[in-house]
Amino acid sequence: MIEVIHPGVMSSVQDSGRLGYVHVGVPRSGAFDQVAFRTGNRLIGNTETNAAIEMTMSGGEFKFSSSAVICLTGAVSDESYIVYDSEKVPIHSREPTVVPRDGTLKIGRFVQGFRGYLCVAGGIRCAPILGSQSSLVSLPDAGLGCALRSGDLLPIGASNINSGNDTRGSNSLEDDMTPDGDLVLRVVPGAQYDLFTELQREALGELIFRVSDESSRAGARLSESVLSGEMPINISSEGALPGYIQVPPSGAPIILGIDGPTTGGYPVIASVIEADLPVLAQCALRQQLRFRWISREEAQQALREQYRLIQSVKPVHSVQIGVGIRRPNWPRVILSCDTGEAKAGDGRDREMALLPYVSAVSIACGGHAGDEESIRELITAACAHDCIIGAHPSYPDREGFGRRAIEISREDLGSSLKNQLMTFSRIADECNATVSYIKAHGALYHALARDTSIARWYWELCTSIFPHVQFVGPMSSATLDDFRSSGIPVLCEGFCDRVYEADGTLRLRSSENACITNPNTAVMQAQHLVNHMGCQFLCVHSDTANAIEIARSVFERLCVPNAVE
Amino acid sequence: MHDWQLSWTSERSILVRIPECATQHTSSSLLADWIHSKNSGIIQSVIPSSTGVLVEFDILKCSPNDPWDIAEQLIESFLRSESYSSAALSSREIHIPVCYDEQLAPDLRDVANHLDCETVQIIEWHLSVQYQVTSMGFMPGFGYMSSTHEALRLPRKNTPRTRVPAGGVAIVEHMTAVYPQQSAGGWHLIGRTPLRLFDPNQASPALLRVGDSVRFVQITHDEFRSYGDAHYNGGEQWR
Repeated sequence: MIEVIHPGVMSSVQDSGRLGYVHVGVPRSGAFDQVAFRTGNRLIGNTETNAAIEMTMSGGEFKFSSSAVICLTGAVSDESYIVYDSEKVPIHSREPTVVPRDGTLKIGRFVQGFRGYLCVAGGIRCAPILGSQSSLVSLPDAGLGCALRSGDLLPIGASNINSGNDTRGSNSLEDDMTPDGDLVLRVVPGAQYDLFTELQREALGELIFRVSDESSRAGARLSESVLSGEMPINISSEGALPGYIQVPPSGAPIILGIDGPTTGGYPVIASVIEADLPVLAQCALRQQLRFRWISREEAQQALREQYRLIQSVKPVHSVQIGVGIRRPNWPRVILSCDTGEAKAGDGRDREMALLPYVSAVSIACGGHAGDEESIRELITAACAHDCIIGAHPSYPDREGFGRRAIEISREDLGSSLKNQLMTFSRIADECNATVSYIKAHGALYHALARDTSIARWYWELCTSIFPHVQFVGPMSSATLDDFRSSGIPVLCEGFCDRVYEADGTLRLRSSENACITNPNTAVMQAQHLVNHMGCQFLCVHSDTANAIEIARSVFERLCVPNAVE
Repeated sequence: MHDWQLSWTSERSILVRIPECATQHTSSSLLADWIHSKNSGIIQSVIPSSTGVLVEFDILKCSPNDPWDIAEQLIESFLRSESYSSAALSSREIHIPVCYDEQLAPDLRDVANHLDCETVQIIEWHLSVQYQVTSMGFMPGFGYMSSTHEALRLPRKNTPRTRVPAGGVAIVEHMTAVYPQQSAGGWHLIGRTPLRLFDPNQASPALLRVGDSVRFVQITHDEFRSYGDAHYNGGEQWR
């Protein structure tokens, strides 16, 4: 169930529309921007026409009483995020995201486009009226739905995502919006085209118009330019469709919208092609627009092309996480923790307590922390928990815990690293354990990510001791790309418990709110990292508050195959 | 060949214009029904109006010239059908009860003053005619009915009323109509019906449709008050 906390400027439930009653004056209604609406549904594995929430000018605030996969499409807001407990997790347009139970979704003011869509896996399931959930917002008394109000409760259907499709979501459908220039709507001749003069028809294709403030889902009144000369008088009223451009005697055109009247008495000079109705839907008030005449064949072709593109959009596999969703082929994600860094006692116990919930253990090799005793204890424990083992070397800097850049010659660094890894290798052999990967610690980890030449040198050194290990590095780093293109086996790492800045770098530990401590937030971040940032190796730090709960949540949600929630 | 004209009115719609004749409105409605009944999924919507039928096609489901061919075939088959040959007989007659009590007819006295007559005269003129629904539109269930008594013709009000109640019976120029829902309106309100003109809970939600004949039947204020939703069935008892 979704509770409407705040509906924003104007929001309503819409689907593909209400056909079959136009002959008695019931407008088609439905999502004005069918491209955004259908794309959103497809991205989360819905039927293309599942009902969604259409928001105008700004988003709103919606609380989820059960967790759900959602996707925002259409207009782009200045800021949108999920609030859970007191944490805020930003979300992005066209990226399917899990809203946890009791999470609140806040969608800001639209800065690009005019109508946004909130699609929910399973679809909104209000009782249909005359075969549709679409709301005729301009006429609430007609009994065909109305705009959303605070306190409204919207049921959500069971998600019908079928997993096993390992295809990554395709976003080939680009926005039609051209924010830099005027908006262009393509038109074909309308019912009374022949009654207009040559000059009037030419003027429609040349003048620049502006959408007036009195525009709505019913229609857009245009201002700034008018067609001049005498307008034809159309005596009898005829059927009308969304996109029809009527010209009243004033010469100021009116474009009928998706909730527009089904008949009209003004002459119709042209019709906006169906493929451009989504562009009309995204026209902001006072926005300038132009018309361009095209042929009927081109118009039909444009719609076919548009639907071909919509149909090429495939579900992003993040949608396989959510309530009631099976995910038998969920790719295995490795969740790791860094260990061997605490002294024996409470700190060590905390590290050990994490092992049941991780699948990989990175063990300090004595550079920044650890000694032979801790290495041996952790390798043994990792084997007992069926975890894979990684070496976790560092700058030789116990005082700075390896987290600061130190002045060190390459020769000295080389001999220290060799020392750390040889010790690790020997103990692993003694325990009959396999070392699967090497992940550098702290400042060295970041230095290697940035500088491909040091990284190449480092990796040569590592593989001289461990010939068959994988390199672990941070997502979107130069070295990861370089190694990948050279065929070096890499694991792309993301942190569940650290906040990322917008540019993909980690927020400095010295900053406020650098760590994520809420398990649900960590799960959301982990899903984002796996589904959108290409991470297959996740890390949680044992010294983060709630580390055990975070590890347990992420592990259960992302790393256990065949789980059913 | 018939003289029913086809014309493209967008890349996805064709207008069928029906030649002027006595049964023009009925034919329009019957053709719309005919097209509905033959719909193979390619036709999205069919809108009858006074002079013709607008047919909207799902152009994703057909090739570029299909709509034209389909429309032509449908007209040919319709013209040969029994449905068309009985057009003159098949008009439905709907009776709409109206209370012209001034409490429910806020413009009745103004209209009388404007036409320099008594209010009873206005009522008599409004009741004297059998109307035809020439088109539906403006809002769900709203039927444009023609033609009012020649003495009873007024332009739109200078200032539209911001709230016309549901059931408001109004006149303008040669037309009369009933507002199915509360809305703004620029017509002159001369009465009110207790009938519901549009009920989305009914399988057939609109009382009126294009081609219907309509007669208004006067009722008292008491009858208006005692009229419940249970009577929603086309004003059966008022025939």
